[in-house]
Amino acid sequence: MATVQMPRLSDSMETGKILRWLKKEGEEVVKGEPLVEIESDKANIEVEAYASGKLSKIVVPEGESAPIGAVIAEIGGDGETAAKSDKPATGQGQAEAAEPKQGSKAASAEAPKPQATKPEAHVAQADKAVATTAQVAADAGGEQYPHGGPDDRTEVGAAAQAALNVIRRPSTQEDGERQRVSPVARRLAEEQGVDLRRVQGTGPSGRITKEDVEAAAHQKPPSAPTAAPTSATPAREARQTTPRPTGEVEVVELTKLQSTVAMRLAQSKFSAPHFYVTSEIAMDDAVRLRQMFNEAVDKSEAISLNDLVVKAVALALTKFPEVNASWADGRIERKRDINIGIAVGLPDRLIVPVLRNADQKSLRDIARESKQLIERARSNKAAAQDYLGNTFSISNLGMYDVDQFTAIINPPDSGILAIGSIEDKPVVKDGQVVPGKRMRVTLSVDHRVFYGVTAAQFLQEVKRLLQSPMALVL
Amino acid sequence: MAVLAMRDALNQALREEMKRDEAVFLLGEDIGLYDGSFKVTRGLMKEFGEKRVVDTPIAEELIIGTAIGAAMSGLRPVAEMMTVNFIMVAMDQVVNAAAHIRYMFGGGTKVPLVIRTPGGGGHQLGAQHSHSHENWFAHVPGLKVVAPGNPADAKGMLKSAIRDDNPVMFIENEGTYAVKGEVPDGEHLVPLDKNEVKRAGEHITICAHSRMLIVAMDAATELEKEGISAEIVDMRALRPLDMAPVIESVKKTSRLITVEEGWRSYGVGSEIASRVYEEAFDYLDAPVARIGAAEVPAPYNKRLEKIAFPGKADVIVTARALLGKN
Amino acid sequence: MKVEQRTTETRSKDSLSDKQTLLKLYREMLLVRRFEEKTAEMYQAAKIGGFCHLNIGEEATIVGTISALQPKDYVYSTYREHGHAIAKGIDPKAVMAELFGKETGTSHGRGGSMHLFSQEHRFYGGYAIVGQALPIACGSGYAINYQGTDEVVMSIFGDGATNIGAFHESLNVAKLWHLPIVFVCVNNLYGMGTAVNRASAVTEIWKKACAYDMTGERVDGMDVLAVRRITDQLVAQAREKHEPSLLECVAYRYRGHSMSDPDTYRGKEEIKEWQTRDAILSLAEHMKKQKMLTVEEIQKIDEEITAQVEEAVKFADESPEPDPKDLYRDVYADEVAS
Repeated sequence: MATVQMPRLSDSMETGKILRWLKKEGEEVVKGEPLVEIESDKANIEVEAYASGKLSKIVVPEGESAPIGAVIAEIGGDGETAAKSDKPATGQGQAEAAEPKQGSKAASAEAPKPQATKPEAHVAQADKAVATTAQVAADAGGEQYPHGGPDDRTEVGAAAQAALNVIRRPSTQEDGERQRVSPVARRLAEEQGVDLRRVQGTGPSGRITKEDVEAAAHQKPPSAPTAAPTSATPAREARQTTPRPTGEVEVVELTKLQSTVAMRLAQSKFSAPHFYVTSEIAMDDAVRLRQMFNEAVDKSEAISLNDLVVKAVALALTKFPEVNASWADGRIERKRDINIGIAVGLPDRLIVPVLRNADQKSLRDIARESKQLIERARSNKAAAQDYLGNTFSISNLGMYDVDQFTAIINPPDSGILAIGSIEDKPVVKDGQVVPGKRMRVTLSVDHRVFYGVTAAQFLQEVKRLLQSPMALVL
Repeated sequence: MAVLAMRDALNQALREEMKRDEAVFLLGEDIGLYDGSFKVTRGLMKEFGEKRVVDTPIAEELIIGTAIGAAMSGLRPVAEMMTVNFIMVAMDQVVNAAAHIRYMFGGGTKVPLVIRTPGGGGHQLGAQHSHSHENWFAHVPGLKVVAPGNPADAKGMLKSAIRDDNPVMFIENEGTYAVKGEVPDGEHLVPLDKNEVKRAGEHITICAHSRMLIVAMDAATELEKEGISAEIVDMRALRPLDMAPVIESVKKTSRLITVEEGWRSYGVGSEIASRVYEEAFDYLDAPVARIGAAEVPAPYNKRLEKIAFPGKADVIVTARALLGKN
Repeated sequence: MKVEQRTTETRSKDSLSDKQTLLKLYREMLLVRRFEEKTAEMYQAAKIGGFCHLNIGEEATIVGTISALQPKDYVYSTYREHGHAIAKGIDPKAVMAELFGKETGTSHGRGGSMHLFSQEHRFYGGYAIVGQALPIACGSGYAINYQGTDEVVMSIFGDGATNIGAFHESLNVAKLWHLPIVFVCVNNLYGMGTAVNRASAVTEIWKKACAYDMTGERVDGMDVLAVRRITDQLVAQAREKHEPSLLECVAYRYRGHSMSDPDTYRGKEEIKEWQTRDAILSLAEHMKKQKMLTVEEIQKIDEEITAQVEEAVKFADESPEPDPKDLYRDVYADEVAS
């Protein structure tokens, strides 16, 4: 008995529809005669019979579809069940389709024919060939990925080989070769102050990647105490580093972050010639404004004094673009955006999250955002973006009863404003001695970028804004 | 050691190989009686006769096709495409036949064929006569592509190409036929797959081939005067592309310029740059700078043409910029 | 270039009234027919991929021409080449294996239906670009002149190729350079789906030879003896006088342009009409009349040929696939780093 399979009628065809059987069940068929009309993806095609005999069974009727290789009819069978092969396909060999002699002899009177073609054999054959090739490839060390569909290879082809060879180059560095760092990682490391020598590369060829630098930038300490807002006095936290007594000296190992910060601060101090300008600001109106503001809003939206300072500094910077600048390789780069770094100090950590475009944000926005930034920084949930792009920074030790102090510039800034405590002290007003609230601020300046007069004028502007704080609300 | 013009070095190569091997013959338009439009084949028909130096009709497809059939049938033809601009008519024979035949016939035959053809522009010949297509050929597996930049290399590589059993695209340049250079006496063979440093330097690497090699060398002389030492790698072997001297150089200088006479996008420089990124990513201080012809059909006007094609000034300015001096 | 005249005795020794000769022609044509029928079946069974162009109906143009050649003569064909390859002497097993993409194929599975090849049998391919082989065939012709040997080149192509530039360039130099070449145009009246009268200003292809002052002949491509007779003459002319020629064989392909062609541009009547002039049946009739063949013998031959084709399929089935490790083999004729 011979089976009739759904033929492949075009190179893109996957299934075909039976349009019309040109012979009826039970009719005699001669090899070469048109047997069935099939609709392929491109056209309607008349398909001939490849065997002679009685059309014993039509398996797929008119109007129905079947995939290539599926049995659609039987020739010379008993018409009972669907064809089953009595001999499975061996290796890559294929059982031959029965080929009855030409002429009108009934198929059943013939001598035993070669095994009937297994119904799905052709498709199975193709799969098997693919599987065999895959096995060969696997044996030869070729790679596999799951068989996804009729067009998928199960082996990684030659097309990707050249690219893979490059990616998988061994991690060992050659003599004289620089450390392998991706360009974006290098830039990030510089911005973040990450020491690349201490970073483990996990990228292709052992290269240090962006992710590696980000991970190094905010190392998670073993136990982080609950964060407190900057303005409140934080409880003294336990050191997370364990001192190891070694004789007379207690050695404290630095965390990655600590050593990074140390390096950056040293760099800043030693490369930028700092000079300092101090000013005392009357904060009465600012304090009062803040009070009124906070009475009117929800506790979660309360603004801090720091927020007022941030806004004042940001607005002042719009008038003094030369202060919102950086020293870069012998040139001064003035930054378009005004991004204020807010130093968040904890006993073991110093981090400076950045509030971007502070000049364009309302006090409310600044309050909300700085809360979020500081919270994230304290709880170690900060994203890399939080630390990028500062153009000027503020450090506030006012909550620690500090008169004044000088801060070290946070690179790549050219200035940092150190904020002291607000003190009630006797001041002269209209010839009278009255109590007043005074706050001392000290501006540290990179003398290469701008000079005394600018520094003084800039500070004057900050003072003016804080002393007429309604301007900050606009 | 003799001093020869490029065309004479090529002429010598052809003559020597034709003497050496009976199977070598030449075919092309006006290469015989006319002595060749660029005089590369001067005197060869007189010496070797009409059978071995064939003046063909103007039929590029036919020229390459015949060369292929002859090569498959035991001969070693050297076909000339008068200029590379005319080869486009025969691209089917070059790519679909010459480059593919050995592989698609399962290795059953080979095509020992050399196609000589000059490219380049800068002579006010207009858009249709100013192309450079070595990148097109270098893209095709099955072809070998070389572009020598001096007479010694030209002679040595043409001889090697004729002795090679593969189809070789031998890229000459209309602007360099008169350039003179020293050529070693005796049997002088240059391999088809080795690039080399033609000028040692410290600060910057320049890859150039064919006429642009000469341009780069001139630029380097100027740059030296301002203290910039340029290392020049001659990219005479384009397929297979020998990157070893380039990588070694880039590891030293960390900066690379590629120069070609063809259009910049998708040009030879693109491939060189890609391979440098693959092999020496971590040695680079800056992206590879690619210099190529401005992406316009070549203009006829003298000044427009001058600024459209790469010149010494372009290389100098780019080198300075790459070193942060601009 | 002047070429000396040759006088070697190279005319075919076969006589077209000899039973052995006719039997050989008959068996060859039937082999091509049964092979191509099986190829169609195997293509529909997805064992053969890509494009597949069949010679069914054109057997006389294949066997009648190639049988006039000697083993050392070159044959250049097109993508419709299975029959040509077999007629030139390539084992049908190797052809079927190539169609199946196996390592044992004529081109080690790298070429497929359109790129068969055999150095041993001087079957020089198998080309998928219309007209591409003609200039290349001229190259072999040139080499024959150059080396002073006496082979002949036969370049076989279709009616569609006679309108492409390469055709004209080739005929021109064949005459100009006195190449020993016979250009055989199998005019099956259609270039894919376009009838000759819609593509060619001159529909009698043999006439195009006059533009090159070349011998042009036309023959009934369904009559193998007629084809053989004229081919004998033209091959002798090429071999002895180095006079090229253009032979137009008017024939018909019963199937579409390729296995993907639904063949809607021809009417069923036209196909049936041509089938009444079938070359194989005609020769059988002729031989029966001449008492050279009986019905039983015809049946027996068919069984033998059919079995031979089955064997070819079995061989192809059981042959190994190419090893992926050999993907890059034979791109170049030497070891070349990429």
